[in-house]
Amino acid sequence: MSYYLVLVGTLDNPLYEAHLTSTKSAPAPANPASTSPTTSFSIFGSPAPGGAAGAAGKSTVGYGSKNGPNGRHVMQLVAHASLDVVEDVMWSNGGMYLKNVDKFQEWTVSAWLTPGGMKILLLHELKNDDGIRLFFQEVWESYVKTLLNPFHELNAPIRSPTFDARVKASAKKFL
Amino acid sequence: MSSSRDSVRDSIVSSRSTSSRFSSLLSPALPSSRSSTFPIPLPSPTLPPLPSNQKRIVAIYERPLAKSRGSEVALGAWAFLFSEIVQYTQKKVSGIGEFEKRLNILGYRVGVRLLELLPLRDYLYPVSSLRSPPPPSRTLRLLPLLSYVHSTLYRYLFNRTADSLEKSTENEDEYMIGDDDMVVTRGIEVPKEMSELSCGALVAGIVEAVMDGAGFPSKVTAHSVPTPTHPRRTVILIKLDPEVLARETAMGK
Repeated sequence: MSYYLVLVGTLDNPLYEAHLTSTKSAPAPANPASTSPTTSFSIFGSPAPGGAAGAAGKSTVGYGSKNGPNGRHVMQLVAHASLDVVEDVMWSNGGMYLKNVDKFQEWTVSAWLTPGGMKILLLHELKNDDGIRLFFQEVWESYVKTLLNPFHELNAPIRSPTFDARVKASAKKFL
Repeated sequence: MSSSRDSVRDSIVSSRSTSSRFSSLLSPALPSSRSSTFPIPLPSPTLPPLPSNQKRIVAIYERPLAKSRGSEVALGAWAFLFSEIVQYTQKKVSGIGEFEKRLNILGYRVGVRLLELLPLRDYLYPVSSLRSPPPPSRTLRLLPLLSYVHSTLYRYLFNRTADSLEKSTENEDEYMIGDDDMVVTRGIEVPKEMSELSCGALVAGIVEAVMDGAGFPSKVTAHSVPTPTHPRRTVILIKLDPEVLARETAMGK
């Protein structure tokens, strides 16, 4: 399944984005006879057999699919829209890992708030709390190592290919 | 006027690593390609040529964050570095306010990294291996954060807690952390005509970064208030922004 990860700085600017795919397969999609529109399509848009395609119709078809008409920027929009919810929750919850803060169609947004005020958001479909928590920790660790570079300007976008490689490796391990 | 602003900007970009305590965490500095007035000695062993840069970058990410044995540096080395920083800054500024602002910025950059690093270290390398580590958590209220600065942060930086934590009686939004003998300024003598200057502005910058990052934006300054028993006593004054106070009252005392 696919995930969208974004590191958001203190000025609400994205410092790093990644579209990740997981090697684990999704649980079996809802049976074609289901009438609920949100589950009749898997995110990659492979149509469920039968007439459910026509019945559901509407815009769930290409949502967020990489090849769909709306595409990747929908994921970015959803993730950033959930920042409001994150900021609401962050003052009542003292932990760093906030799970399932927001839900949109078939995606849930989980967040990790670093002690320095950075937010790490992950858009995901599957429920995988422990895996996601471990993944967030690894991303946090890599981020701190990036920060320790004295030449790294705070709130600057992170373009290091090594950081990218590490995030992708963590994703493969935990997601 | 704009030229001094530009020079402040340049100083932010090219400021050296501020504290030798943290220098072991930073990647070994590559010789700067910018021109400098004196040759920068290459770190030994001499760096191999460019293609293995990639290897070096990877090595930085692989490096563990635990506090290694040789990472502490002699106070004399720090005093030397700090005195050079102060002299360098003195040449570039035109007044006390800007002087303190520059030192504040240097401390800020340190503080941001510290704020993230300390909880990460606590989490990855828990002190007691008997119990499982408590889940990492952030401080939501003001008083726990102030006592975190007063004890944990100070203990990490200077190996002892600060000497006092007070709330100002005149203003609701001011708090003071007192330090009877600030380590960083031990080697600095301030002439009488600049007596408002306190080089503790560096530590004030560190505290300001911690407060800002945790979600309590404030203005932090350092003032020296010599007392008969402690002639080098410095007070770090934390003035919170009004939105912090509003939020604190909304969350309920």
